[in-house]
Amino acid sequence: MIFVDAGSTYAKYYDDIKQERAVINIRDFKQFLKTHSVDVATGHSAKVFKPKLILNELVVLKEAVSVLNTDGKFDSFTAIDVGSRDIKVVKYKDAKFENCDWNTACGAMVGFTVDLLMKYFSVTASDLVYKSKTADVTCGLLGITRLFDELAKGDDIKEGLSMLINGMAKFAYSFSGKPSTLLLSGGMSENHIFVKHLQALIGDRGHFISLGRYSLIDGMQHYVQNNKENLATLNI
Amino acid sequence: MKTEVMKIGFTGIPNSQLINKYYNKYPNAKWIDLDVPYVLNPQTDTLPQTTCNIIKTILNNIYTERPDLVLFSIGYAKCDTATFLAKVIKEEFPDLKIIIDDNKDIKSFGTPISSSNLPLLEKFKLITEQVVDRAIGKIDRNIKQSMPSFGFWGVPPFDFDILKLFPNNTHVYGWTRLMENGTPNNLDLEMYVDNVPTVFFTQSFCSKGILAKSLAHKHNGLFVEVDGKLDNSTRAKIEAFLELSAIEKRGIL
Repeated sequence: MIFVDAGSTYAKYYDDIKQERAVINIRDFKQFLKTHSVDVATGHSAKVFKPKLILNELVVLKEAVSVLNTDGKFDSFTAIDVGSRDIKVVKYKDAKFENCDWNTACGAMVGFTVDLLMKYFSVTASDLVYKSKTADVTCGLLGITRLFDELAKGDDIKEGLSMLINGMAKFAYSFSGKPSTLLLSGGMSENHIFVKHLQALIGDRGHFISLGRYSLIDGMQHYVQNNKENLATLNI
Repeated sequence: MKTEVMKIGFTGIPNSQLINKYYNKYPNAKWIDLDVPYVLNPQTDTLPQTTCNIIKTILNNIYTERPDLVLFSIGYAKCDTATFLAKVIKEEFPDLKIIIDDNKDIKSFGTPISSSNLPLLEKFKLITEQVVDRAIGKIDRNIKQSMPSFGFWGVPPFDFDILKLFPNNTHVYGWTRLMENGTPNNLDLEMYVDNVPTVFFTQSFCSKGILAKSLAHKHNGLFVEVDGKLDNSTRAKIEAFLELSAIEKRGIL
């Protein structure tokens, strides 16, 4: 069975027969479909992969946490997924659904903006050093404006990028409701500056847990395992 | 001004006595709800871009539908922006007869459609299409009722597609419920919701967004703001809220 988490700029896939997983650029989806038949997909670009079943991203995010929740440790949680285009949040309290949200306007394009700027300045995430300086930004576009203002003052590009990523982490934390325990999913969980700033914001009040870039794949698998009877007609 | 009135436009919920007066005076006139987007992309250079699509729609409809007379709701019963729009329209259409109406009706018609088991889209169609019929007493009140499982709070959305996402046992709250009740200035009823997972909807750039956001926070509901057509992310957010709420209710987690 092939699962695809199809974001706006990258798709993550997992073949559970071959035990193979990888990230592909979303522009290569046609090439991918020549050799793969997708069973289950989620994400902004899910439809282009022509899956048998499309799952809602927020539902899958909740399922990704359920994978870890074997001992009731995560009966109460706040999980966010920060990818290229948007920020999603789902909250449970005492094993009951509390709320969810999905930000596409202010706060959008976080991952895409970071990716774009790093490529433009020929910088990789590992080149950046975490510093606590933060820019107040509410979306990728405003973030770029703020970065260029800082560069015009003579600031270092790497420090400016670090400041921008901190600002995005701050916005994501605020959007999630500033919880004491936060689980992070999506591409930004692999950005060490973003992660370090979230950890700094949480401090000693609670815990930060990275679910990783493939967590929505885990969530889809969990969903399928728990809904086999309902999905039988789809031959999944 | 034309003496023959063939088309009567209205915005919001005009006072029922006013509707009866003009219904009896011009029995053959066609009534047009100017809040309804007959064209889905209202274009006007007169208003700022940051104007609610319903307000843009009213102006657009006056251009295209050319009513002879308009019962124009303003004030709390509609919104402050409508008060200013009425001024603009008077300037732009000096021959158009505009009856300004700040509806303070307290007589309740009841809300059997809002609490019925009809599909949510059907509920909204009936509530918005029966404004005149309700005022003149021509409506069927014998509608099968349901217990609410979900709620939709707010004004009738510009794009009714959002309503297709909800199950039949979704009850209607907020200003749309006031519409059905014929009391568009009843803030207490506007604030009322049952204890069910509720989507608090507002048009972008509408002052009712303040109510929607605070009520969503108070009742742990989902705040949704839409400008014009429903986008895929907002659709997915609502679908997830309904699905996760339903899963929680069934105790599957």
